[in-house]
Amino acid sequence: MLSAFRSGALKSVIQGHGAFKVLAVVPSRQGHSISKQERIETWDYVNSVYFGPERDMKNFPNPTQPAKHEPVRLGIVPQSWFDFMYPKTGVTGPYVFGGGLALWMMSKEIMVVDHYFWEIPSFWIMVYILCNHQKVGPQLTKWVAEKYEARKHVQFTRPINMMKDAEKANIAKLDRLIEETETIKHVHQAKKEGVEFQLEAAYRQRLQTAYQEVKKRLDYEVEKANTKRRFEQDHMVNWIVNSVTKSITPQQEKESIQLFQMDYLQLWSCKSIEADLSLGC
Amino acid sequence: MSSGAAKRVSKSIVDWARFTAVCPKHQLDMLRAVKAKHDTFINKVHTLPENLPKIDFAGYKARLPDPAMADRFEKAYAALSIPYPVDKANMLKQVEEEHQENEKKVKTYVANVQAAGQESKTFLSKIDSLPQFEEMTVEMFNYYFPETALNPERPTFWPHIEEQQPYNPEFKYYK
Repeated sequence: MLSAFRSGALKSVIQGHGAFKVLAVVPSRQGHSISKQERIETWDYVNSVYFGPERDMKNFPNPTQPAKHEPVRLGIVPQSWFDFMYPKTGVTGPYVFGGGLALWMMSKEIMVVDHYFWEIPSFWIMVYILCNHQKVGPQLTKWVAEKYEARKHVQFTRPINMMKDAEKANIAKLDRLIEETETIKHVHQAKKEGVEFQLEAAYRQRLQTAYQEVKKRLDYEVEKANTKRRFEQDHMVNWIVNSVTKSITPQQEKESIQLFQMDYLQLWSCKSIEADLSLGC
Repeated sequence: MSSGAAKRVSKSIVDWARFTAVCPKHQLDMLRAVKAKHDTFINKVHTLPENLPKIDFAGYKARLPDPAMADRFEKAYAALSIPYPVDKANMLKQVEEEHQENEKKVKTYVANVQAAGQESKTFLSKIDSLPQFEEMTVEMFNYYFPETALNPERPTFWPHIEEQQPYNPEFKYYK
């Protein structure tokens, strides 16, 4: 499938027909934001092309970016080439082969030693020195790694994480919305209870009124009886007193006054005698 | 004294804590008003006697001029039957109907919300199905994210961001 892309399939893709119809559906570099549905469709389709049943993962595994290059000798020549020649030619074989090849190429004027010839070996020698330098080498490695990490972050990690966070927040929000629908149950309960409590209050009000009315009537009866008795007593007392006062004649009055005067005088003399006695003492 | 056909209530079974927890933030004021109103109903009920209060008829019998009168009162008071008030406007039925309607609405609403949530969950799982950045070639990346890929049919000007393209209405020199 990958070879199919290499052999000119890209042209048909760009024109909007062929293996990747998706590009025609989702025009690139356009202002409108891509919906979730569109993204899912795109990804499903691309996944089916790259990792579908037609893909021969055994012979053509997915290429990955290794974290570190394979071991090399002389800075640029792969170690595996030396390992390949070692059983047949020994340790010096590869070097002899390299030197012999260079000599042969020079003799056939495939490799011409002109003014520009030294640019190639001097460039690679400089690269070798820089990469193996004690201070510059690690710094270079670090710089390249940082560049790669930054690109990965901007292009892939950050947008993907933003999408994930947005979806998680959305799910949490929707869950909360579902939870909030429970409100109607409580509202119903509260409304029902409101009506029931008002009925109950009215009923209790009736009880209270009945009690108060009965009690009022009883109290009235008691009070009525009390008042009647009190009035009767007062009236009786007044009547008796009045009758007695009326029955007193002027003769009787005079006698009683005389009696009072005598009593008074008697009292007065007693008092004076007491006073004398006390003075005499 | 008959309790009547209607069921007597004396205690609220509304779970106000849960109610407050599930209430939407913008409706908390309404909730507070409802609670205050509800509390006035309950308080009114609690200030009044639950059953017909007892009257000390023996005491009255001693005080009344006619003890037979107290007996008559006692008999009548004991036979007193106070009817439970009737829900004339049939509010309870209205409340019930309203609840049924609300439940229907909530059912469709919850179904919609759950569908949206399901879509979000599917999208999350699809994000996880993407290959790692290290496993992607530039070509693959462009197919997965066509909006970031270079499209020769729509060339862009430097600095190649949407806000500063001549066709964008937000562009300063847009005509």
